[in-house]
Amino acid sequence: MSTHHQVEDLLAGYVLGVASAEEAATIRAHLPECGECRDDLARLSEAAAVLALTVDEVVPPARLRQRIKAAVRREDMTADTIELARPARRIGLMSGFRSTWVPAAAAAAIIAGLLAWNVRLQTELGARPSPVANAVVTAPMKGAQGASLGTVTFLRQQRVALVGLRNLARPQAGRTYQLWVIDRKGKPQPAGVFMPDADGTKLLIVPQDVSGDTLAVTEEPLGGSLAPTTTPLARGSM
Amino acid sequence: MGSSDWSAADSDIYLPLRVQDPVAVELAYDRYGGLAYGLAQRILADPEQAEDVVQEVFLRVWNNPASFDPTRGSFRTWLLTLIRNRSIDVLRGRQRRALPVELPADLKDVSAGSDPWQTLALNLEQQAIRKGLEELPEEQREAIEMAYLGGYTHTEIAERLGTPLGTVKGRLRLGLEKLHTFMRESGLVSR
Repeated sequence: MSTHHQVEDLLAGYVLGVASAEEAATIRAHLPECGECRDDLARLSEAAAVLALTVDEVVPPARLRQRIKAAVRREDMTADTIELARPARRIGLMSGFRSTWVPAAAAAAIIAGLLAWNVRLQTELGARPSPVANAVVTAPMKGAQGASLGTVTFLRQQRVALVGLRNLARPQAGRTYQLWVIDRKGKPQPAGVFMPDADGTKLLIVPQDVSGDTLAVTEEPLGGSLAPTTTPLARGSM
Repeated sequence: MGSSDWSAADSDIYLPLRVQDPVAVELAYDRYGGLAYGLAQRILADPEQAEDVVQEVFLRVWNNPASFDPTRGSFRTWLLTLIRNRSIDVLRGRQRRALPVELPADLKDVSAGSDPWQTLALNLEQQAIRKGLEELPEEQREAIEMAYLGGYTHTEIAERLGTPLGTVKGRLRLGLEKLHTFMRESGLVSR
């Protein structure tokens, strides 16, 4: 059997982590010279990577969170005593960070993918697909004097909001934009800091139910704030 | 969907992790602790050992933040790979081996749940992937589970199933190929 065919046979076990050291060495030696096997490896790796998701989540005992937290804090304090010049932790203010920025193409793919997937899964499960009109709620993000600064699209089924912003000026030096989700009682929850793209746009994903909430953008010090410190420059109510 | 599109997933974890903000570990645990513990528990069938594995891996993540490269795969995949490998090591009672610090070179984010939908889409994703696994022929699924969850080598699987070694390799390969095809047809991967 040629090395190529030998490696072909071994790749599945390799990506599943059960190849012997000798088999793994054979594979690694062959890969740089074989595009076909590299493609196979990528494909099989993708399949193997999702196997972890076939296992049920299990709620760990509460003590485990405390154990991990305590251990990390312990090591953190130890590190602090021996490493005085650590990076600034402004980013630590992002503890309430909920949103994630994405490129425009990705946002389009997300919306299309979410809707298609939702309908397909419901069909497979024998349920009646939700009308798209009921599944998606859109609201404008408005600035001063009602100027349009973008939209918020909430996908009810997936409980995720997509915030598309435009016409954003670059914040002043040392400042950043921060997104907030404000509940019906008016309590703001930090949902992420971001800088606009060069063309003044930004797309953000907020993975939570924002029904009845207001999304707002303020300008804040770099790293963000725990509560808004300026008047919102854009807001949209769901 | 282009896999590179999802590189921003879990950035709220790995960005603060890079500056070793303890909040990052807590956030990672709150988001993936259940998956991690479930996986360790399934492999080890021992709650105490599963707890130890999860704690050890999260501490390693904390201590080696640079070993995660978001351009090469999702944080979730990386974390669960660490959990799986460490669990298998414990299961087999091997000498502690170095945890992998990177994903296979061509392994990118592959799943919808590793994108910013995060946990909110996880159930849908799990349903889809379980369905794909369930649709495999029994002998292929069995071989894959023995390898992934049991850590059995090719030879060990062949011995336990009483089938030729070549057949085992073929079942693993065919099973993963079919699972990948299912994922592609479900829109979970593009290639």
